[in-house]
Amino acid sequence: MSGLSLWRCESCDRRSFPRRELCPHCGSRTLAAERVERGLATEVTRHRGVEIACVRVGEDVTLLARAGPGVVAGSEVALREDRGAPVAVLA
Amino acid sequence: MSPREAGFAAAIVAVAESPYSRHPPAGTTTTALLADAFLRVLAAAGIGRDDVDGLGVASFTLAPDHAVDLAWRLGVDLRWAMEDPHGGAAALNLLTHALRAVEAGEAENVVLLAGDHFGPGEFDRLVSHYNRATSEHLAPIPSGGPNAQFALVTQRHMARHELDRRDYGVIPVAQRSWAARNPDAVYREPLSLDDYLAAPVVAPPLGRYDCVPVVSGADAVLVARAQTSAPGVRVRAARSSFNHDSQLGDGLSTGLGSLAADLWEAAGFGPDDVDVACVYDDYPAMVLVQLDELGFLPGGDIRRFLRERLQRDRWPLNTSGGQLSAGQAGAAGGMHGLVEAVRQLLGQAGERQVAARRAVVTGYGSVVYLHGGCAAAAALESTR
Repeated sequence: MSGLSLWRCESCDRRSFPRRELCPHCGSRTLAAERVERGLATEVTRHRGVEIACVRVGEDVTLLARAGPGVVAGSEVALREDRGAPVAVLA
Repeated sequence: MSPREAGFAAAIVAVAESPYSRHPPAGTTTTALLADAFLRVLAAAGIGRDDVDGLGVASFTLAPDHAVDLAWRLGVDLRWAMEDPHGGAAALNLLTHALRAVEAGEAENVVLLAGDHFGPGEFDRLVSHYNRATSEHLAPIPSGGPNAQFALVTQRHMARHELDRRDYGVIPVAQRSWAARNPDAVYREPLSLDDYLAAPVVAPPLGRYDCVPVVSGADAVLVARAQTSAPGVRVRAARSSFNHDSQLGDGLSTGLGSLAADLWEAAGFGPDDVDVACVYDDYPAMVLVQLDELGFLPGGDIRRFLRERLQRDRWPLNTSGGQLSAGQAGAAGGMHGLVEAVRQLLGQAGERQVAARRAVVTGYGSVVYLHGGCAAAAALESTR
């Protein structure tokens, strides 16, 4: 399944990941899952043979993802999820 | 002097470290290391086991035991006990609580212990299941612990300040030259900038010497009411921060920035008065971030600080060699710098002794998701 679940606050409309109990922006408790498909890799490293990217989704979310081949800082990436791990591949 | 300026009436009267070991002998246990540090600090203070009525502990590998189990193993009867699980900030958090406990009369002699021994596979298990966010979203990557996160943070720091690896290398190289004069540091051989640059890559841009060597060991601090007759170290001010940015920031702040002004005001002295600084050195970039937040980098000129203050003037930063050379014994990481600062202030630092009356110590850690969630700092002054 493509895409990754973030958490959209129904009160302030901003998103967060991983899920908190209360919205980190406004404190509201009403968070609803929202699929996102795309992000921007801002930094990429490689540790023990695993490529790991810091991925920005819009203005509100920064997450860490397993990066696919060719993903470098500045790459537009497609997001999906693998057993809890965000995965970012070249879009 | 106003009560606010006076700091705590309690003091640090003794410190000790159970020697760190990269490859501890078979049969080593966390509890035995903590017990060794406990005995060493009692000996240093010249008090007996029965004088101890407070115990604080920070350890990743003590579980399933807690403070009371450790008290039982040590055979101490306590009026006060606590644990702090917040990684690199744990020791200073414990210190703040212990000072208040002694001042409130809840205990007279509080021993704070921090240490770990990681058996085969235990370190990897710890970093994969450091908290729920890590278990659920980082371990399945697998991101493999904090090196990856701080590689990404360091890339951001590099870009922000236009630094390169030669700049970061100044810190481990300078600290190694202090370690050469610390018989307890696990790495004491000279380290050149070329050695640093040629070392195996851990996670770009981090190389081997940007990362702390994991060791087994323990540290201890004794907090008691200040005696005018005996030398001690007064904690003029201590402050802690938890979840300062809700992991919404870029990792290039630790929380120390927002407590620095209050810390220095309460301490009654400032960065220019500090003779020795023990700054939590999990990664060189984070040392620079903390120094900047505390006001040690006038104008934010990092290169100038590195070339002039550290390289040329050999400013006393992490004079034990820091965790980068002395080693990181798990939760003892945050107590190691405190022990070193107190040794310097008490004139017990041997070959690496500097003329020191005032010190600052920091702790940083508890990677919540992207970067550390806890930070703490203490301003110390010798009563010698």
